[in-house]
Amino acid sequence: MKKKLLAVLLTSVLGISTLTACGSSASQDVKAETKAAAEADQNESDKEVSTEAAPSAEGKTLRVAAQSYPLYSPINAAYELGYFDEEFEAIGASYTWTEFASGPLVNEAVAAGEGDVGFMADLPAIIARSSGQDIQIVSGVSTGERSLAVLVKADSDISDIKDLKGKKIAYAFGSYAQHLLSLVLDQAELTFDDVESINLGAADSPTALAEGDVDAIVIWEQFITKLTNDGTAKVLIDGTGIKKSNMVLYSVKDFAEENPELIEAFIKAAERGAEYISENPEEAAKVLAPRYNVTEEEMLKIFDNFNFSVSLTDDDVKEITKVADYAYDAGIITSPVNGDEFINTTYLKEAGF
Amino acid sequence: MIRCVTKICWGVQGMDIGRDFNEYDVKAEKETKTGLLSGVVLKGIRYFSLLVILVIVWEVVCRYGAVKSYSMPAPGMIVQDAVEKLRSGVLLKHITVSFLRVLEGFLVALISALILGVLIGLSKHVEQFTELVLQILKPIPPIAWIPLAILWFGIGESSKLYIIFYGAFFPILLNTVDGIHNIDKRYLELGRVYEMKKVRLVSKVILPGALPSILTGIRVGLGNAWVCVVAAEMIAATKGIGYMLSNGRSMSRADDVILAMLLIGIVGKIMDDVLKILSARLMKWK
Amino acid sequence: MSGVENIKRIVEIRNLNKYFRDMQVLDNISLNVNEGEFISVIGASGCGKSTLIRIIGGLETASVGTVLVKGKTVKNPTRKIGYVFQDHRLLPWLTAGENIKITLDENEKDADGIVKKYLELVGLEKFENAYPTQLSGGMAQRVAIARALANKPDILLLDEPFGALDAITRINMQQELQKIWKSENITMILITHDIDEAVYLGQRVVVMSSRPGRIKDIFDIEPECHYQRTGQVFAHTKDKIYQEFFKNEELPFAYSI
Repeated sequence: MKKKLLAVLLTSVLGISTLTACGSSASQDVKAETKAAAEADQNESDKEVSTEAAPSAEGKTLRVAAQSYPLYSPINAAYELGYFDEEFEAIGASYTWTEFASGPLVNEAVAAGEGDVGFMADLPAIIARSSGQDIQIVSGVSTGERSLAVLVKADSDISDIKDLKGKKIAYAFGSYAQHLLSLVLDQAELTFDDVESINLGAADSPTALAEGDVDAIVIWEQFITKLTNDGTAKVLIDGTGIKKSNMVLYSVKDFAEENPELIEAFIKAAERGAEYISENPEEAAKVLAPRYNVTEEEMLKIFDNFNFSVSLTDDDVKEITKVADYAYDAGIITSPVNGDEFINTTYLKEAGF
Repeated sequence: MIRCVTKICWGVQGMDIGRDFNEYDVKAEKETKTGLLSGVVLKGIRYFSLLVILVIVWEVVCRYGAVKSYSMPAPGMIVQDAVEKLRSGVLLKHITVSFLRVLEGFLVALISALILGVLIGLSKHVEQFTELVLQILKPIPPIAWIPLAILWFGIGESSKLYIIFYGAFFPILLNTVDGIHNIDKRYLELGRVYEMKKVRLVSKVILPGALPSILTGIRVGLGNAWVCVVAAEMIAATKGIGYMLSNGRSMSRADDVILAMLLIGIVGKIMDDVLKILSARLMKWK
Repeated sequence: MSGVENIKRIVEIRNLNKYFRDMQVLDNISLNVNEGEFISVIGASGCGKSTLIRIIGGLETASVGTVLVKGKTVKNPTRKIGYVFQDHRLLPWLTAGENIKITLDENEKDADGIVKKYLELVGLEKFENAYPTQLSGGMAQRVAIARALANKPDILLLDEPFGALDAITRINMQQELQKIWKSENITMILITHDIDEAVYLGQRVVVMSSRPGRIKDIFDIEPECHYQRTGQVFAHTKDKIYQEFFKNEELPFAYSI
């Protein structure tokens, strides 16, 4: 009898410990869900009182999962120039800022419950949504047809996109660079089977191209300007007329619903950052160039390849939807993402854009 | 399901957890065994019971708990992923590619580490010559070599092989040197008494005496090499289990990540088991 | 030619002193061993008898004094000075036969024959292909003796060869060793702390005192002791030696006659 008791005890101890170990986030989610349900009820009644959210943001914190690339200059500028500090202080809230090296890493952090908002290119955001993360795109960050390009060596004999046939092309798998390449290959009447794909991130692609390990790379700013400036590479083709390259800001859906003011404050600050860059490019270059490890000259050139704005037009929604469809058709994602459902412009509108 | 749990509980009960081994218990246990076959079955149950318990708990937690599928996919999802990949042949391709890479890197490490290890073990001069450089290199983890590996060897197979080679090299080298240095001094004395020539001494006394230590080093080295496959395949890979893991991470496919981890564990265990059997054969005199 | 000249001194030790760091282990040892003799050296632990035999064997060097074997100074160990250790020191990864074979000269043409012959001598010809782990302590030690003898040494040194064995095996081994000594007619020097053993085997028993090691006494042993362990002569001889170590003990009435 004693033995049986011991056995049952042991099994339940094991079970409980496993439950608590891997389910600590689970319990957090449960707590969050019940909290959200309660607050949702609250918000419902609150809404009838006023449309401005002023007092309920008090004491809250927004956790930002950030990246530091020219693609996100409005946000990086707002950070450097203290716009976030101003906007958040104004509503009595605060924010935390953690930097990651790439979109997938931001997704990882948000999925682990360590971030409330993140920003990245269209495709990684779609991949995150497709994997089941309950996120929504709440604003844009930038677009830039020339901010994403296929580069070849300056002295390469590849002069036309049809010359890509049979060549080694490096790009980060699952990044929006893959989408551009697919569009380029379509245009050249080639498929991915006609080229040799090498999986390399932005950190290693430039060296691989310079060393001749690959024939072409698909990469974004600041690398395009840096590599063309020092004569290593030339642009074979960029997104002009093919891909707009939307950088988007997304938020955890429930968090945004509970804390719309925080989202709006963020968007406001980001737009201020965008305006600052267009009105004072030289000063903006001074502020941002060191961040991206480029010269001020290069920074100005890079700015030219972008359109910094938080707005999401119908056209943008269409672009992002196209990418979502491509991702599903190419097998990059296994469950489809609906562009209209994924994008939520409420906060954008509330913020006045 | 309940029967399954009860069976497991009986298996657990068979474990002498924290009880003193006393004759009475041994007798009692022997009396409940109805022959050799049930003994083997009991052992089998005990062997697998913990794993089965964990998988069941995992499945239950994911089904009825509030765990998101993108942060912790249920075992069922992993199995589905595995089946899909098996069917398309992708899984076998990944495993084969990684396995061959590891084998290649490991063999290079084996030969070079054995040769260098024997030289260092036998010659004080060589030891002093190489000591400083080796001691500095030893703590550097294989992952840290990735940037240099890319610079020196490019993004092809060589850089991956280098990482794997590096992971296997030091355990084999150090254990070989240790094994040789720790040869029972009494055997060396024996060699002196019988005026054994250097060659005979090395081949008949020192190397066989160092063999247990060398074999341990080889087992650790192979295990290390296999672990390094993840690091190695971070360099521009398009195939392999390590690639499946990194790509799973980039594509928010937690099921790929976990599947890759499981494969690394399972294949690693099989390789170690094979080596264990080979070791036992080589040292059948024990 | 006088009869004295025919007896060759095969081992000559003159004024042997040995120091380990600043401790004196052996003090002025002088001893001659004749060809074909069996010498037992007995002493308590730490009396330096092991060191003495190691010096004779060339495994250690004398600090002061000379050690000659067959007229030549011993500088290094050689096959010709056979050595049996207290532990059998058989290489565990080789069979009994292989263990003997690898100690023979590489140019030896009849290695296999020699291996068989000496295994037969110690009664283990059936165990040529057994591994040391498959042999009992006594058997392994017999292989070690065979190994030493297979190299046809001038003398055989035995450093407490049976110390690790149980009492009954020990007696068997002593009988074996005596048989081998008689049939091979080889000089043997045995180190032991067992008085019985020393008396049974040795024609002379060298008694050493401890710290530092000195030769206290040398007893000539009557041949009868080599046949009968249970007789009066044996017991009497034993007692004499016993007295060297344990003074002031009353002899039973019978012996004081």
